[in-house]
Amino acid sequence: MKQPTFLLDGMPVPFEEGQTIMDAAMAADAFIPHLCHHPEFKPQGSCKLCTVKANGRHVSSCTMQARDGMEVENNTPDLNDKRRTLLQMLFVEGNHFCPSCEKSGNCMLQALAYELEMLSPHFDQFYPDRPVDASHPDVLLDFNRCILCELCVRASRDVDGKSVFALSGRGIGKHLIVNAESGRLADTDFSLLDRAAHVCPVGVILEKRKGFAVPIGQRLYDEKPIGQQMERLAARTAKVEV
Amino acid sequence: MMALWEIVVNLDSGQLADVLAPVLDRYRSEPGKLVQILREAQEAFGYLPPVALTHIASSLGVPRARVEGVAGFYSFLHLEPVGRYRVLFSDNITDRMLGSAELMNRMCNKLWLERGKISEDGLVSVDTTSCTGMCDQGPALLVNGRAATRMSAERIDRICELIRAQTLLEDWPGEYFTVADNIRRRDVLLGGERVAGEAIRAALARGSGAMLAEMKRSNLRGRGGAGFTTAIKWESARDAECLAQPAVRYVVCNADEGEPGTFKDRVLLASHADLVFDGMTVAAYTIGAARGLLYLRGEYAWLLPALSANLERRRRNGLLGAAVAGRAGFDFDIEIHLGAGAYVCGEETALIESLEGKRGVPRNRPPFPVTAGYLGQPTVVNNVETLCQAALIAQQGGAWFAGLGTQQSTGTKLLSVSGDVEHPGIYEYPFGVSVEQVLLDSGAGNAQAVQVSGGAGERRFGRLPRHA
Ligand SMILES: Cc1cc2nc3c(=O)[nH]c(=O)nc-3n(C[C@H](O)[C@H](O)[C@H](O)COP(=O)(O)O)c2cc1C
Ligand code: SF4
Ligand code: FES
Repeated sequence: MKQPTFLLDGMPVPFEEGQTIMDAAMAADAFIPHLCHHPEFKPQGSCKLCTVKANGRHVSSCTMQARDGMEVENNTPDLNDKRRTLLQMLFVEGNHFCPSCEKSGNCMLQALAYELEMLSPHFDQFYPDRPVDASHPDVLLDFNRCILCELCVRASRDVDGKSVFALSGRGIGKHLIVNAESGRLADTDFSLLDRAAHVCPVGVILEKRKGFAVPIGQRLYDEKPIGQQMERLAARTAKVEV
Repeated sequence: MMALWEIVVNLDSGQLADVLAPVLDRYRSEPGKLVQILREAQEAFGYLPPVALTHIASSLGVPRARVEGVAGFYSFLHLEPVGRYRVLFSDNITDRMLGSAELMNRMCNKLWLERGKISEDGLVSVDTTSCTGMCDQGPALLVNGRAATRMSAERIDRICELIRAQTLLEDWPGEYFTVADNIRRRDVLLGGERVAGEAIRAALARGSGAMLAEMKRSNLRGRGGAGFTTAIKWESARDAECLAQPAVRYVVCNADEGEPGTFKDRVLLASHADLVFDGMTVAAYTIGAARGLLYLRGEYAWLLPALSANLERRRRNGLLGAAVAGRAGFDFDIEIHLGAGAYVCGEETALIESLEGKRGVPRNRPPFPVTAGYLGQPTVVNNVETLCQAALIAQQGGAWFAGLGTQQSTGTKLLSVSGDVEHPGIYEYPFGVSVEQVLLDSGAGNAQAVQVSGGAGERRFGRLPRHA
């Protein structure tokens, strides 16, 4: 039997039954912008950056199963415009000051802003007040940059079996919490060896004393734009990580 | 009056465990009952202090972060102390048109309070909340979860006095808490005199396959907003394989009625609860479900005692439990789950998450609830009114129902009418009634705009169209 295929911006993409549009696109080296998706974890479908138009309907490509003959629009001015707006909202809701952030150059949010040519935040800054947590001996948490993608939540729960992280609050009050009555990371069983210590796409979960081991200018997305790193993005696992 | 929360900081862990033990026992420390457990724990302490969350988490055997995550999600669960008297003004456009904002300011001024802040003595806090479903008798508010209606400057002043004197709610003037049905037009649903269980007996006499056929014939479409054909939903759940063991199907009644401006489900639950439960039981019989869950929005918690008493009565009368209505092999019971203030929990997959004791975040679909819903099992989620209509169909047949309304939209519909009209309340019409007729009947002269089907619906301005 012929392998099922869908069209991604006119390009035929083969897929296995049950695969999502995102998985199939990644395997075919085609870039669909995404933040909350990670090949190692169960799709979450919350950031909506991966929104594509499948047979005329807006869907999240990371949760939508591919279907034979489907026509998918991805890299279109209209969709990229919407994605840029989503990015702008993420930027203003947190405190993302790239020049002073040690994750600069390794940050997916920043890389996508370059990729999608986001030139200004457009909206008014929220300037939320979120104290950092430096209690842990090896790791610093800077909640100011959290985009609530729940990758650390999934990693800690599903891989580490610890549930160190969770979301609390709702709507604009939604925020990341840690598993301790004191609210301090030091009072959890979190360890630098956890999978959850290495999945944050932005600069929240930071290893202490390592910030500038690789100089800015020589980092992941300094070398090549994120849109040209499909192979690495698709290969992300516990062994090969950002 | 010394609230527990004032001394909670001084509670040692043994005392804390003593206070929480009855709550945890009642729910057998099941993680799936977390929302209910948190609600009741809060009743004991006034709010949910960090030590209580830690204790609940370890009793349930779940990570503390999960418990805090759930507690932080719902508006009616508090991680910080709130006033011993918690006043929440319903903040809907209709309440505002009736002067709710002025009344809230008046109360805040009288009590020397800032909105949203607790008074220094911990006595009282005042804030707003989403529509409490009293648009036909506003301005409305909730005080410690009890619904108060028809507020006026005079009532507000009196309430301030009652609060200052720390008068127990039981001793407040009863008329503050009167909730009227305001049924203005009755048709087949609201008109008939019915005996509890009649619809169930009718469905049993037909047989489940024939009952489904009647549902198809009726062409009933869901009254919860999306208008999905009910028979298709029921058939899918009936045919779906149970993915988990033991194999159980579920019927969920969506009584979250969060859409600002709607209050018809409240009236059905208050005055036609037997019809609602009959409808759930008919659905259960048709799809082969063993359990029913009614998700009651937190704003309607005041309806709980009467609804629970009704379920007890039905159990005594053989309409719930083993061999419902004498039919051997048809075992079915209904449980009520209270929400805790979250509009999004009206969305069926968020509702199911909440039923499972989680944050009310919508699921990714597929799978849809009919194949993998509550606890991953086939689940039918229907609106209160849909289930009432299904009960009528069981009794009077699909063809009869399809003869009402229009070909596209069969049957009758309850409209919640409020705003600048002379007779706000519930109007039951066959589908196809014109907006003009509704305006005429409700006494809305010279209307400039009509908001159809709640805040999420559509607005109509100027020359109003003839058909709804
Ligand atoms: C944000 C949102 C809120 C909703 N709120 C309600 C509600 O309060 N009551 C309700 O019956 N359906 C609500 N729904 C629709 C439900 O998801 C579901 O379609 C409905 O309960 C199905 O019942 P029905 O087929 O009988 O209409 C809501 C949907 C969304 C997306
Ligand atoms: S800390 Fe990082 S990984 Fe965790 S939710 Fe926030 S952005 Fe995502
Ligand atoms: S990547 Fe698909 S929703 Fe975030």
